[in-house]
Order: sequence, then C-alpha cells, then structure tokens
Amino acid sequence: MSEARELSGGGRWRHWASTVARKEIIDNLRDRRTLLSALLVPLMAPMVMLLMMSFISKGAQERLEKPLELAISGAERAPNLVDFLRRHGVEPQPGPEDPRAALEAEELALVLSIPQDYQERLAAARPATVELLSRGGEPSARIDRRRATSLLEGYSRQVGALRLIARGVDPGVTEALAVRVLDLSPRDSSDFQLLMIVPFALVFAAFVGGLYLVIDAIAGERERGSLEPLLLTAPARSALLIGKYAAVVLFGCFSIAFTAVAFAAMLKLMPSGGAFAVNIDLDPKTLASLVLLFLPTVFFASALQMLVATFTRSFKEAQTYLSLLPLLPGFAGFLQAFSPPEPVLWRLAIPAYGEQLLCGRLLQGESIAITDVLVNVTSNFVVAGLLLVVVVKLFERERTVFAR
Amino acid sequence: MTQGAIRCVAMIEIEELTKSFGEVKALDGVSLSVPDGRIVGLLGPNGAGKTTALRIVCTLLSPDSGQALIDGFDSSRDGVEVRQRLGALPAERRGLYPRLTARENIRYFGRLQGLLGEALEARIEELMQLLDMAEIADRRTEGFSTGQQLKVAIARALIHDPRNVLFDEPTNGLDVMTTRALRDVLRRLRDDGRAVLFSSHVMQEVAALCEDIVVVDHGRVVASGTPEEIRERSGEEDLEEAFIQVLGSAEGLA
Repeated sequence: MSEARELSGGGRWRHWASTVARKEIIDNLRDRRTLLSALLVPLMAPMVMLLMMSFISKGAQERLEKPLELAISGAERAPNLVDFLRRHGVEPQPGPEDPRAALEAEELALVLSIPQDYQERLAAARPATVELLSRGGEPSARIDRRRATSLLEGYSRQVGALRLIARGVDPGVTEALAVRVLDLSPRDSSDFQLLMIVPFALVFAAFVGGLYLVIDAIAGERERGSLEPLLLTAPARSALLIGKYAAVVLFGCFSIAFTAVAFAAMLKLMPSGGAFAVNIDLDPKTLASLVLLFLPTVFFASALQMLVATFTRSFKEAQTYLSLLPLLPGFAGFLQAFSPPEPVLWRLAIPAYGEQLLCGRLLQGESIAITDVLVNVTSNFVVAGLLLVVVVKLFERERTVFAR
Repeated sequence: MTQGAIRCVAMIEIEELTKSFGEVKALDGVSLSVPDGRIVGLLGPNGAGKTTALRIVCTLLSPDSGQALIDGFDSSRDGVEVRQRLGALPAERRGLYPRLTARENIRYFGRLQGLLGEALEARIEELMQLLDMAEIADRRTEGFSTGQQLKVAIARALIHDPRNVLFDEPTNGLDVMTTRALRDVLRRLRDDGRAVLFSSHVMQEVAALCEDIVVVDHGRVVASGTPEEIRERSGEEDLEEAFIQVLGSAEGLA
C-alpha cells in the first residue's frame, strides 16, 4: 500500500524511530514549559556569573579609586615617606601602639609600622626595615595590601636612585633586568571558583534541555492514556523508545550549545578594563571544546531521565524526581571549586562528573590528555546504552505499561 | 502470510487462553473465532475478562497458556505482524496528543503503521468523511468532547485499513448519536469483509450489532452462538432474560 511498509528490518526500524522523534519534537516545540526549560534555564547561569563578576570588579574598581586609608605606627619617624604616600593617594591614619595586637583583635586589617631605628639606618644608607602587617584574605584586603606594597617599593626605588645620583652613578646601572610581568599562571582561586559555574551550568543544561520532553513522552504519555494506543501501532517498542530518546537528546544538545553561546555573549558584554580582580577569558576555542566535552553528557542524562521517568506514575511525580536529578552531579562537580580532587581515571569515568573535572582543568589553563577525554566519553555512551537497554526491557513488561 | 491461510479460516482465532494476575485468574480457557465479514460481540459483566482477552489479542499482554492468532500470526510472538493487521481501540485509554490537531494525531499513527505521502493523506481524508470530522480536522484536540475524541481515536486505529478490527467497550460514555454513528462504522467494516471483534457489557449494544455473541464470565465462555441460538438454549423468550439465565446472575449486566 505504501513505500514504508515495504522497507525491510533496519530501514523500517529507522522509519519508526524517526517518525516518533519528529512527532515529539514538533509536539514539544508547541509546549511553553519545554521551551522555557530548554532556553531560559541555560541562560540563568551566565546571568548569575555576570552579576557576580560585575559586583566583584565594581568593588575592586571602587577600592582602587578610593584613597587608601593606612594606619601608620610611628609616622613621626618617617615624615618623607608619609609625604610620599600622601601624594600617592594614601590617607595616613594614626597607627596603634601595638600593631600586632590591633590586628589580632581585628580592629585593623593593615598597619604600616615604622621602627625606632628607621631614621638612623636611612641616614647610614643601610636598608631600613618597615613592617607591613596585614590580616584577611578577602579581595578588598588583598587589593589594599598590594597597593601599599607597591607604593613602599616605589619609595624605596626613588630613595635608592637619589642616593646613586648623589654619588654620581646612573641609577639605571642597578637595573640589570627590566622585568615586564606577564601573568600566565594558573588562575587565582577565587576566579577559578567563579569559573566553576561553567561546568555546573553545562551539566545542568544537559539534563534540563530535554526535561519536559522526557516527562511528556514517558509519564505524560501514560497519564493521558495515549501510551496504550501508541503501543498498538506496528513499531517495535525499542523503536518507539529510541525515537523518544533521540528527541530528548536533541533538546539537550541544543541546550548545551545555547548555554555556551550565552556564556560567550556574556563575556563579550563584560567591561574588560579594570576588571583585574576577576581575570576571566573564555576564548571561542575553549568554549567549543567545552560544548564537545559535554555533548556525551546529554546522551547519559537523557537515558537516565528516561529510566527514572519509567518508574513514575504521573506527570507531577516525574517532574519532582527529574528536577532533582541534575543537582547530584552538579554539586558534586561544583565541589572541585573548593578542593579539586585528584583526577584519577575512575573519577573521570563517572558520567556527568568526570567531564566536570576535565572542564575544571581546561578552565585553569591546563591541557587535558586525549585518553582522559576518551575514557569519559566512552563511559557516558556505554552507561547511556545500558540504561536504554533497561528502559526498553522495562517497557516490554506488562506491569510497566499498565501501572497506574 | 500464506502460513495464515493454511492454518485457519478465521482471521481472529483465540484458543484456550488463560491468564492470571497474581492470585486472580482473569482468563480460564477462553476460545473464540471471528471470521472475515462478521461482527462478533464479546459480552460479559465488568471483570469477566473481556479486556484481558482483547489485550492478549492486540499484543499488550501475553497469555499464560493458549494463543491468539491474527491472520495466522501469534500475538505473543509476531507482535509487529499482528499489529499491522489489526486496528484496535483500547478500553478507556484513548488519549490524544492535545497539542496536535486531529489530523496530525491521525497522521502520526498512519506513519507509524507504514503509510506515507499521498496514500496517507488520501486515507486520512477518507476516514474524516466516514466519521464526519471535517469541522474538527485541523483543531488541536485539547478540549475535544468525548465524542470528538472517540472519532479521532477510531480514525487513527483504522488508518492502515486493517483486515481485523478490535473495539474494547467503544460505546462507554457516548451519547445516542455518536453510538449510532459508531454502529454504522462497524457495519461498514463488516460489509467490507473485515473481521470485527467488539466487547461490551451492554446487552442491547451487542444484540443490535452482532451476528455472533460470546458470553464470558469469570474468565470462561459460558455461552456462544447467534442471539437466537442463545435464546433457544436458555428457553427464555426475552434476550435479556436469556443472558441473565446464562450468567446465572444479573450482576453487572445493564
């Protein structure tokens, strides 16, 4: 009667699966919830990151432009130094008698202490020790400390140069090297923590992209009573389920790509100047490798979601369980922002987790071994395949079909 | 397919089916056959095993013993072959896809049954005329009335022009007009030479349509034959009295 019916085994099976996939895609594109979860949720992580970054860098900017309030103990012993500091944007404050005690009592975060013998040693052209005592690791304290240090070094160089000139020597001779600092080191830990939003968001996108499609295609199908009629059509159940799976995977992949593009767009929007408290750059190449790294996750996530949905009896129940599902790998991966675990092979082989470790290393500017990637990718696909076999087997049981 | 012609004359052949769900014996040796061009009514009170028997025929359940053959294909082994030769309307669960139009719902099932392109569209048009669906054809099925839903469900069950038709309690919850339209459809299928098996717990329903009636109760066939034969055997003048006589009680029969 028609061409498709004449198709043999494999061709017929593909026709069935692609028919189901097509229907699920069209059907779910008409569903607002599906679109929302596939499009808006992936946008959220880049937005959060944008907010955090602009908050941090704005704080840093303000800190830099504000006069530095520096408590100086024994300021009267070094009037020239205090003058120099004042000219360079420092507001000298009277320092405490006992700097150490003041810091320990957390009354102050930064104290410059000028010792008794300062003038004496300076006059004798011997290095005069000054102490810069600080406390606190938060970005603002670090910025203040860095500013004070570089000002003191500047003063030291200036005085040294004057001494040489006084002796008729070109100050340039003391500078054997002109060092330009180009920072290529692994990122600062706080920047790294911020960047860890990226793998978290990508793993989330892998799950959330097809979330409503899974619910609708498995639990929804049963709840609205369309599963039984569907199973009464010719196709083998494996073809019906793989067709649904293909649609879920497609939505998940789309969601990953969309998340990556959103991150890229967000970084373009970021003001680059002055953002030195946050040192983030994701070039298009890195982003593309991240997308590739997380596409296998979609295959695993979709299969796992289908399995979980198979056990749920209603749309609501499926929604509850499936919404919680991505949190597990998401937070497990996020932990590496605080204490990166040793990336041993068995960790890399955990689907939806290993790729986050790999992603973390990529983002730290390290290179990752192709074998490590292969281990992770293979594990994602193998586990996905096994889960799908279980789903198909479950659907061949009478209880799965008729469970209310 | 030649295998089918050799093995049986009837297109739907049920032989000694048994099926238990845990302790409950739903079917205890049910046999019946539906030849081409006949409507056979499966009559019995609620819980008699009608739905279980039909689910075995349409491959959703497998029997503990016995077999159901459709055009000679065993329903528990040759699922794909059986489903291609069978148009089945399940009891109660006839959900549609609410975000698809009536036509899209039917087209989806047509593709799954192996129809494509022109042939598929022509068949959809044919069924829409048969079921008088022109008005609802391109509306999304969300909010359809029970009658409208049933029409779509019937159209998609018959989309592949199956030689064997299985309707499980099709008239449940329908108004008079839709019931009448449904009867017309079933008669036309019979006149086209289809084997039609249809279940009901409503005696009048079965009497109005069927040449052959199989009465089941507690998973067993308690009587079968034409309405006249059943009447004669029970010695009752009235058909309803005859059924009650056959069942031994009036429970469940409306």
